Amino acid sequence: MNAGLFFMTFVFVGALIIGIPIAFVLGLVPLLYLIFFRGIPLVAIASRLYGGIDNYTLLALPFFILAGNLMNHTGITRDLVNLSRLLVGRVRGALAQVNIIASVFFAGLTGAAVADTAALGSILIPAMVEEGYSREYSAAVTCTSSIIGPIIPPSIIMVIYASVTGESVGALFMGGFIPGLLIAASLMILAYYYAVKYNHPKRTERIEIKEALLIIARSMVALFVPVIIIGGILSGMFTPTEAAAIACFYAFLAGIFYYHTLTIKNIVDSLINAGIVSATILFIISTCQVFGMVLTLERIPEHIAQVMTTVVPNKYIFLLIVNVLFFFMGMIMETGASVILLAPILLPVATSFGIHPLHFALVMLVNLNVGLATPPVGVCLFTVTPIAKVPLERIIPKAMPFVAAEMVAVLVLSYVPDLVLFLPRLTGFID
Amino acid sequence: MINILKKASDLTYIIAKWIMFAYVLGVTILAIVGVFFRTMGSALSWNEELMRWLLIGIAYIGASVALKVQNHIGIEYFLLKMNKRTMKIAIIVGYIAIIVFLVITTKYTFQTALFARRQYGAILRVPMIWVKMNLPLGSIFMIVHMTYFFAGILREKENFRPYMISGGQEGEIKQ
Repeated sequence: MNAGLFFMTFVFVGALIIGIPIAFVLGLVPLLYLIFFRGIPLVAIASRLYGGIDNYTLLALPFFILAGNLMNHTGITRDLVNLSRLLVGRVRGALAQVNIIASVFFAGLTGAAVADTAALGSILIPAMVEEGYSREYSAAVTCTSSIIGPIIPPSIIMVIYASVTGESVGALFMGGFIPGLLIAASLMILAYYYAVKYNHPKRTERIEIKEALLIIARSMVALFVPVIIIGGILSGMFTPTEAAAIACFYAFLAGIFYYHTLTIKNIVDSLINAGIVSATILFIISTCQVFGMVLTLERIPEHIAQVMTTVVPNKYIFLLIVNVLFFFMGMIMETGASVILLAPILLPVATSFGIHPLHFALVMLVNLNVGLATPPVGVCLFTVTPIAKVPLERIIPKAMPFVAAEMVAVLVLSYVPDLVLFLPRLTGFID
Repeated sequence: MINILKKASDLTYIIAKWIMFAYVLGVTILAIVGVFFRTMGSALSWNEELMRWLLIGIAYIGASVALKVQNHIGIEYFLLKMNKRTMKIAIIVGYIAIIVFLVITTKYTFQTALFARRQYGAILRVPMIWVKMNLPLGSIFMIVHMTYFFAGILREKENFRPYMISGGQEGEIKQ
């Protein structure tokens, strides 16, 4: 390891340990490196900061976040919960199953896990507690199932991945469907096991046909959002960015004219929140471009690729190693930041092993998302704690078996690429 | 002194928040209008360029708003494991580093913006200085907030949370 690389590693790790936000770490490390080790004019940093975010694809970020915010203000969540109850309410441990199924439906609206945890948790955790589930278990099911949100399209994290690697957003969206359902299935199986073991309740009363039709009709308003987004992209009518903007418009119309719940204050708050959340991610992407410049100067991706191809015998071992790495990164770092940092470095290595770029993308995204429900920095865990009104350390042991089930799904996904590639191939995104 | 810095930080936050609000609203309307015109058969040629410019503004002006509301993503795990004295020193070192980064960024992004005063957009013939000025402006806003947080940490002995720049109000600080 040369002096420059050693210096960068030391500053990078040290800066993270003392709590400097990742966006500043990604700017600070290359800045110090350029000052001390290279004679490159610092004005190069400014052009990189600008160039990194002058990207049309990234416009989808504020739109998807805004659409999710507007939806959260409408009351759509309760309709989705009712629909899930209608579908799986008579299974043993019904509310846990409802929680997972509702996350699948909710995933089609927002593309962010925290929104799912907050929206579904505030409705389903009290309901589960009332039916006799423990608060810890209810919180664990809510936060681990909410990671389905960023896997089933639309997905904010997929837009970020596409912007840093050049992968097609549409292909990523299509590739996310089956992995999302696989995660849901793994959770449902485990929840059912617990339901049988601990004799969890199920719905005994029948829902009248008239009421069932009403529930389905009301849910259609919410379920039309993914239809617009995916249908629009597949038909070539919209780009993913435009589809996201149309989803905002639809949420706005539904909130005002159908649900009658969207106020001026809600709209203003949603716009401001979308700006703040987008800016947090965009700022990381911007400074990461400077970091990327320094990595290229030091030829770090090349070195990593060289070491990997020498040491790692085949793609199966490589996938195992990266899965361990992603799981660890997901535990300590926010998903978006991990993607921005790792994807440009590891994607070329993966393709050199003959792994399809889209397959690698989904393995990475699904695995990193699992980290949203793991300590020490699982944001879904932090979100669910005040909702469930139970200490974090009591939720974690209940969540871990669900996290393990998700990791089994991730491994299945890693070694059966067709689970990811089937739909993008069917819809013509890949050959 | 801390009160003056707080007032400056609060005022900067309000200004930045509403600029960012206008940018997000603008970009959303432009996108929807763009789709509408395209489906009507007369696609707008300029809206994509303007949207990209607004996105630059959202990123940098919004980053300053995110800083004020403690929304930037950082790892607090190790910091929260430290005792108060070590934690305070670590935070101070971190804040000095961030302020240095922001000052250098402001200087060079401002230079770049000035260079761009004779460059024009490919479709909208607007001088690029107006677009690129978002970077130094956002950085200056962040310096204002960082100065306030830095002064707050220096003064504070017990509760550092109001002056920490990530994690919102989450997490507990070890006594």
